[in-house]
Amino acid sequence: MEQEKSRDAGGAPGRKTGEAPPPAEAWTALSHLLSGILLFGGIGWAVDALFHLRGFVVAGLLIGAAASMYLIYLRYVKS
Amino acid sequence: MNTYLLAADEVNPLAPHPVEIIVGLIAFGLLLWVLAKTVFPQFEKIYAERTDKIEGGLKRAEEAQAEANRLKQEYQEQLDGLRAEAARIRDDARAEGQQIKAELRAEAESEAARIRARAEEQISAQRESAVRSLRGEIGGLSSQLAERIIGSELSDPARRAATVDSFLAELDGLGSRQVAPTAGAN
Amino acid sequence: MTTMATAPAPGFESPGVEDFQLPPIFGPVTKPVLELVLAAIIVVVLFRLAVRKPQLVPGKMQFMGESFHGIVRNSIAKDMIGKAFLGYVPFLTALFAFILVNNLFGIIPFIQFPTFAHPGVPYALALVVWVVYTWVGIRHHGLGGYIRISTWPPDVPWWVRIILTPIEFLSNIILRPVTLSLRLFGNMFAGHLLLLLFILGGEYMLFTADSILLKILSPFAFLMGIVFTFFEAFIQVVQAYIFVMLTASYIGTVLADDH
Repeated sequence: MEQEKSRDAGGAPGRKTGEAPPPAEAWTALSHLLSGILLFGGIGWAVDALFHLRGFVVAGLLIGAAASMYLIYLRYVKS
Repeated sequence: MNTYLLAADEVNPLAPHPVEIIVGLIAFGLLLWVLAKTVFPQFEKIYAERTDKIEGGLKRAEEAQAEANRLKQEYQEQLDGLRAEAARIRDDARAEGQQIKAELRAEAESEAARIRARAEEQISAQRESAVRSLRGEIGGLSSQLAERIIGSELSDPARRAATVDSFLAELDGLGSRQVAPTAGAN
Repeated sequence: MTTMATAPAPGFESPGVEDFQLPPIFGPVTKPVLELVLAAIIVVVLFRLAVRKPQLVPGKMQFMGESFHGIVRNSIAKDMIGKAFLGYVPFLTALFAFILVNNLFGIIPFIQFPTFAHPGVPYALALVVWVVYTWVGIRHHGLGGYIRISTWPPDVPWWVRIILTPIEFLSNIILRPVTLSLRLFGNMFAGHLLLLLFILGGEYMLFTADSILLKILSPFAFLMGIVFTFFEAFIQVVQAYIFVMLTASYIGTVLADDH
């Protein structure tokens, strides 16, 4: 067991914190994208609904999408 | 988690069934427990044994190799020793042979020298005896010659000369026979 | 979902959500409940047979058991988790086997209902996975460390972080178990609905419909049903694999160290 562990110490890619291993990256990236759009779209929708405004939901969706993409860039492309 | 959300005519497919959750968790829990206790350790044990066997085999092969190398080294050393020993014996034999040869030669030489010396001694002794007997004979012959000259043929000079010549020829033949007996008589 | 058939013949009710509401067999026990128990029994029995008399040179059963265990151990756990992978192999292997058998029930004759076309157990299993990787993360990094690696993108200005951190929090800590369970449930649900559509549709075309043309065309519906059965088999294996792979990747992510 110990030997197994020590042999695999080199096998584990030195990933940055919070970074998923390659095959799962796509799913995590998709999840980030979804989260951003949902979160900021939801905030925009809430602002519209509370203050009887229009347009914040669209702005929120766009901001969310852009922020998610930047986050994906930070996590998986830059590092 | 909601229960059954079973509205009058609308069924929500996302609503969970509590019985399934309970049974599913218990079933999975038992499954995990049994497998983790009795099955997976066996697998890991087999993997470890297999790895150990392969690595052990390699180790044993290495040991055998080392042993073989050691033996080879040993034999080589022994062989070198034997070779040196043989060379030493050969050298000794050669030296001894040379010594014997030299001794034999010296012996043979001394023997030859001894033989030669004896031969020389004999020769000189014979020569001496020959000279001695010659001397005696010459004395006799001289007296015979004188007898003949004086007794019968002194009047005729021609006969006298012939007598002297025949005497001398006789003497000559006798002398050469006496002086070199090995060369044959002539 | 209920209007998938574009032009249903008169009288044809296309299969819908109500087809997934199975009647109880006895008490509260329904078909999926029995399937869950059966799946656990099948998995345990097969694995027990595999290690009945373990040998260095494996027999057929042992070889299959080892291969299954080896896939999870060497292809999923080792790649996704890294050096400390060994302790998570039993959980991942059991999870894979349990989900796989339950999924394959969807195409096994006479059972023919994928257990996880009901969402309850996928929710529960995803929650278990969430508890496991959260606990592992907190144990490894401490509560603050775990939250930091899950929500704190490195090297960005504070005002960018105000935007990004909520997204990562939502994605990594809240949505992960939701997507994990819904992905499994959704695929099983849609797959079963598709098969129902072809088989029930073919049945209707053959026996109920008046049109001769529909009767003649009905074999094509059954043929499509068979084709999609094979397709579903593939989907069922892949979904079980993805569930386990993502579980391992979440554990690997919370175990990753700072560099």
